[in-house]
Amino acid sequence: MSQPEFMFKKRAVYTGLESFLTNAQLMQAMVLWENKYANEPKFAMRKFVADLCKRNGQTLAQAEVLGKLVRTMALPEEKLLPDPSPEIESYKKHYRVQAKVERRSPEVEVFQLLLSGLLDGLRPSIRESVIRYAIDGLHAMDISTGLRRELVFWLKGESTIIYMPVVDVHQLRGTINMFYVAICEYIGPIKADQLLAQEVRRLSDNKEERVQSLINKLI
Amino acid sequence: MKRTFYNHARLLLVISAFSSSAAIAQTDLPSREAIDVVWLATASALVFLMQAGFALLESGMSRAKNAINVVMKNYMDVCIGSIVFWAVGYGLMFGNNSSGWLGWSHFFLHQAASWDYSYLLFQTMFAATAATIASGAMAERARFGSYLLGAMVITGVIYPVFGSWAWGSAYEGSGWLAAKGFIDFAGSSVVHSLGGWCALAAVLVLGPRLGRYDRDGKAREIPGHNLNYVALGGLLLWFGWFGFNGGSTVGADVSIGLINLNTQLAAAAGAVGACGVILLLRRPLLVGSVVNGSLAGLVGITAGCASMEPVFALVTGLSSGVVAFLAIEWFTRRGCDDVVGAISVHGVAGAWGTLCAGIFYRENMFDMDVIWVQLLGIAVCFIWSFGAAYCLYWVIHTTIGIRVEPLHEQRGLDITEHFEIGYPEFVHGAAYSKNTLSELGR
Repeated sequence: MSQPEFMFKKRAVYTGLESFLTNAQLMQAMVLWENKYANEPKFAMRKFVADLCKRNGQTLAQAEVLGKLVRTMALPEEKLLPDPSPEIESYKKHYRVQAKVERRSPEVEVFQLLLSGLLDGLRPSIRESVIRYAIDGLHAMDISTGLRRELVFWLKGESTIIYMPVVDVHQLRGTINMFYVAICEYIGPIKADQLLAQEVRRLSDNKEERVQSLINKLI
Repeated sequence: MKRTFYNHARLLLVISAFSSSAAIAQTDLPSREAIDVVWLATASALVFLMQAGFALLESGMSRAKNAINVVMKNYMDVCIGSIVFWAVGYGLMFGNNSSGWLGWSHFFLHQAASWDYSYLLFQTMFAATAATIASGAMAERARFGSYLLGAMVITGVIYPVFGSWAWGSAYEGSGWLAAKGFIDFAGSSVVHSLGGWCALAAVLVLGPRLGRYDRDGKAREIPGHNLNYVALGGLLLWFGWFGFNGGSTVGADVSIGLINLNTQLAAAAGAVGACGVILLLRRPLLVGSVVNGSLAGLVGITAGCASMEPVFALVTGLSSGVVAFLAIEWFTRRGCDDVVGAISVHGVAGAWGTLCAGIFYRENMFDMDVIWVQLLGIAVCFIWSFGAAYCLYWVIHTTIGIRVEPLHEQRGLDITEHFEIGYPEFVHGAAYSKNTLSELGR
């Protein structure tokens, strides 16, 4: 799913639920959707509504909520409420809600494997320098706050997995290129090309066509 | 008896053949102009072959992921350059020049004399050579369209303007530098230095390739992908140079023998000179350095090949090879990432050769008056071509952009500029394959 698609879906869910829930319940619902259902296909909306109703003690009319959500999904973009991301972020911060989602897209999974391979192929001292370069570089890059935060946590060793339910593949590609530039700076372009080729081969070997297609998208 | 008959028959055949060929010779004797045109057209073809030499040399010195882009630049700059030079450049360079500063006739040449057409063809090859010199220096990080725009302006304006000063008009009037007695027979300065200084401007605006210099500013080697291409390219250029220098007589002339002998000696001495300095400095004897040495010898002798004794051609070539090698080191240390060494081989060796043409001028050797004019020509060539080209590339950089994005440097310009892979069957060591292309195409 692309970033604009994700944003549309998020605004549609927010708009659809807004009339049924209090502000705090709405924020909880949005966090739940982001964490578990954002990357699911459209028919999983039924599961989301069931989960939501269960968490809210059956006070919601499940069919009504689901009907409303399906209708808002079909609305044009200008009829939807604005992006609720700032409110959700401030809610998470205030209530110290665990920011990590439980799922990640296949693109992010392959992205992490490729980055790990590239970094593991470097000597420890060079790896440290490349990581420092990348952390500085990430702040200047035009990528989503979530991806930046996840990457910084991961690069600093504060998490072992990059959790992102959905992310624009252009941002992942741009990030890999930023690491490539950093590796060129520290070990030179010839070795950087060899390392990239070696990692691409390693990931492609004995993997299904889908993974190869993802790698090709990411580089 | 039988044998005598056969002998008579053979004699008759020989006599009849001789008399018929004599009749042909009397009625269809080619005119002097026709012979000149034949030589000029042949020389043009030889100079055209230098484009193949440049393509091979520059492609070979680039990485495999940029090989096609380099070849495409060479291929297209001669195409666009030919049209632009026919339309504008020739008129500015060789049109009637009463002021000494610029020609102003013979644009879009048509309905002209046959010699004019031959001369335009020959000079078109020179213009294309001047423009293509920058392509190697700019390899692996310049945008294709921006490069072609630059080549268009070099062929249409920068080269013809200096050419009109140094070589003057082919019709009426003369260039101001030519009137002072500036010696540049086939273009050490007019073609090669000018191309080299344009390359310097381009390299300064572009900046070095990703990772070319380490964090301490020390240069890293980025070897080319095919050294056989480099050697073959060098040999093709050498071959084409016989047309470049020999053809500059612009007609069939007995001096061509000396000119091409000097060309040969200087090229050979250039390679020997480069080898000598490499061995003295205890460096590895690389193919690229040796080929560049011979090319520097060729560039160096181009100005004085018609006005030097062979021994001085040898000295010019030898010293040009040394000068070019040292210049490559100097520029590299100062952050100029010139992929093929074009700035040194064409710019510096061209300037050095122009000076040698004055120092070893056969009629008047070591004459300071001649040498001063040569120095003036060298300085004017640098100021005009570097200044104009720097402005040109800076404007391109600030408007449409001249440098590709880092992602394009990662993927290689064959993919990002042409959507092709130079060696699709041999991608074992590369990250990108035909499958990547299909994925990117979606």
